[in-house]
Amino acid sequence: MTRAPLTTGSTTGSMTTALQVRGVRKSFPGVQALDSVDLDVRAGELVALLGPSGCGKTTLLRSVAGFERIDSGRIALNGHVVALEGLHLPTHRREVGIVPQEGALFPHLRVAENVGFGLARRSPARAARIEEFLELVGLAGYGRRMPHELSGGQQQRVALARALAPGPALVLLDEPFSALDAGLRTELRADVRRVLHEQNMTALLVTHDQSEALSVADRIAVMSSGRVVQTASPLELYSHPADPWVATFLGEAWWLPGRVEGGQLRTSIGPLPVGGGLGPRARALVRPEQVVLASDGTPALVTDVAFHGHDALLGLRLADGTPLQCRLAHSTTLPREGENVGVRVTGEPLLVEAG
Amino acid sequence: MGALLAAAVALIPAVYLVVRVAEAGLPRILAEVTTPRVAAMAGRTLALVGLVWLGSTIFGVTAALLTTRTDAPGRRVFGVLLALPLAVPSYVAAYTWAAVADLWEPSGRFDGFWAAVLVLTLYSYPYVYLTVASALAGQDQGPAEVARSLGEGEWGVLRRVTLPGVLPAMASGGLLVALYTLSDFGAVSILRVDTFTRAVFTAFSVGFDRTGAVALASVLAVFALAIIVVERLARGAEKRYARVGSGGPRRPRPLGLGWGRLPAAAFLGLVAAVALGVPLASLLRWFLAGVSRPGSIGEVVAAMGASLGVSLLGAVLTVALAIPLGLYAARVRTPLALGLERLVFVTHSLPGVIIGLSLVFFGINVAYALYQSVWLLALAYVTLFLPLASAAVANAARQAPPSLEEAAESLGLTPFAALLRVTLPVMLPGIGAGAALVFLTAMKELPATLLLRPTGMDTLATRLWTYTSVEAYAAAAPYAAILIALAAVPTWFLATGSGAFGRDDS
Repeated sequence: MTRAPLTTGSTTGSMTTALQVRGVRKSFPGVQALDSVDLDVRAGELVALLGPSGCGKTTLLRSVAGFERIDSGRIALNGHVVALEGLHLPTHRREVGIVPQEGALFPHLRVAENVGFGLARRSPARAARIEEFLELVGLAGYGRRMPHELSGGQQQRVALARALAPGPALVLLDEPFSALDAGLRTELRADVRRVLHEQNMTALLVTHDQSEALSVADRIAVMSSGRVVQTASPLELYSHPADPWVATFLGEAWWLPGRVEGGQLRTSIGPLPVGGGLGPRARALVRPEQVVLASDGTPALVTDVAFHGHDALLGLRLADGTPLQCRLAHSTTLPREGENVGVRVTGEPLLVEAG
Repeated sequence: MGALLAAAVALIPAVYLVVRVAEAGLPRILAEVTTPRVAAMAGRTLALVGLVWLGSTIFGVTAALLTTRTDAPGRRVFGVLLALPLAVPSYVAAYTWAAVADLWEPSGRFDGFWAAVLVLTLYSYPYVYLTVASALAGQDQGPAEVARSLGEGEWGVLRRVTLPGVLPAMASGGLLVALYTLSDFGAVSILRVDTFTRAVFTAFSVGFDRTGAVALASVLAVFALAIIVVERLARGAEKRYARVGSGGPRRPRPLGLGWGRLPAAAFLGLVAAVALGVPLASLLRWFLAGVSRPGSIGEVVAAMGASLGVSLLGAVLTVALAIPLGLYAARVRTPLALGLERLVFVTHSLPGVIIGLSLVFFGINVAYALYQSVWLLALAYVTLFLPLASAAVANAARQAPPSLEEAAESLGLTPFAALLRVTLPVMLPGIGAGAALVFLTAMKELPATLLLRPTGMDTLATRLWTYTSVEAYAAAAPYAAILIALAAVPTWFLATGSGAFGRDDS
């Protein structure tokens, strides 16, 4: 087993950039899967690649891993170029750990042998390292089990330990929670985040689940049709999306049309603060949680009520016919369909555009 | 690469047969086959195939319905028993019937066309029975329940929903029966029925008439190909009948037969008793006499050794070639991969006598170093049984998805090391099962073994055949017993593992 020395202590100055993707393009017959993708992941950071299915996020992950050859562009790990047009460092020399969708544990090997798979076979520290990483993922004492004796969540934990044990430069997680049920998923997400941070590990997580990306990642790169359209922290992304598509992909949002007058957009629900440079007419995008019930607010008709337990989403229609939604934090009473309520918008709109 | 090599090896006989036909020239071939004798033989062969197909379909479908869908007494036991005739190779069956014929037939002879129809039907109906029973077991009860809600009674549901649903299984089982009947050499030659396979063998090994043998073999190959094509089409139709929607299929409520329960049980019992009882009686009668014959033990041991040796060689070679082919077919669903898989399947379906004949010519004219060696015989086994092994390998490969190899590569293994340390170990049980199946099937193989064995070598199958041809029933008995025991192993797994008669909640 030979490996290029790719670990930290790199010679270049950009010590803090663990993964650098520049202008990467990749096409399959009939599809431009990656269309000039740029992405930076800083050392110790957990970045989520978020996008709808078919947006190219998995292709990007597989290109970083070395399972796919890129057509053009550049991928560098810790300052060392691993892929260029015509250059392709094979996966086994890249030092990337992978946690696949369904774990992909080696079914013929015990848990300990799975975790130790990437470690030198005769290393004296091997057993201790296996034990250390099993403990890290909360599976101390499970080393003698066979993979089929574990639950789905446990298998994913072993897959994480297996990927981390050799001390990779970067860990790639390919929708690692998608095969688990809801309760387990939340628990495992928190654990994975804790483990990655404890190890100061750099990680790239592919997901199509917005709430997963928002709750786990330090930063999120949103992909659409083979491009990264915005990279930002979860909070930034949610409250300042780059465009309406990103805004609606991350959660519900509704347009409120109005007239621009004196730095304000006058909508049928009241004035909203907006910047300059707009024409006489504009529209603003707001999230349901910005809409609150207020007895002295603008009258609105409740068109439907969807109760979700922790909150409820009300469908509303304003007097001029504008549709809107209101997220109601947990309360003991809910308005009924057909009832009239008063509403108001708080905070700044996500986006404002002329028209 | 390896996949192409495997396919090339498997295709040698088929290609070489075409070469020989071309060499002889179409006019000569046509002159050989357009004679009254060949016409009569073609008629006889097709009549045999047709009658065996009809009989097997009737027995198989009836038995499958009775054992899986009714309250016939003893259906669970009969369910397994009725699959067991599959474990009796046709030539062994023919031997066991001929060896006790003097008990009911004054002349003591059991041969001719109708004897062949009876024997081949009794020992090939399980192909229909097993496929239909397993289709019935997997059939979704949704449509049947809807039909009942629309006013159909039990028989109406059976006629309008259940049976149409298993029609593809019936067709593919029936076509397998037709193919095996057409390919059968052992039973028809023991029962002295002049069909194509027997004529090809006789023309070559008794008459030394090479052109005649090639001409007859090519007609036989055309018939076989026609059946294969129809079988493929039927299999395609099967997909359209696949269950739609999700959720586990519900087991149907068994159909109450009422006063018909006893006749139903009697029918099941009779088929099982006749098909299994005759071989059993025959072995009981002759086995002791056979093994106590002077020198018989040594001879059996020698034949056993020869069978084991050449079958093992065949199994190892077959699996070695099946690994690249099966992996390729499972991983790469390109037209080339699918085409290779099909081509190999076609040679598998050609009668053993054609494969044997073609390899004899190949040995004499092209690879003389191999002629009269066990290697040529092992090559015949590769050709005949490669699909069995490559299907097993392909199934095993599906147990080892590419993500495993990718995980191993990300942990620092080269692709080749990942194949060795991850993929192959995961596939090992499946590969082992494929090897065992090829090994057991090769032990039973008769026509190619007869044509290709080195002079002086006798296997279990050839000994049985030679002794039976001279009516030395006692001497043949030990071989028959061993061959049945060998064939019983995979049959047992097939019958109990098909899921048709599994434990259920009733």
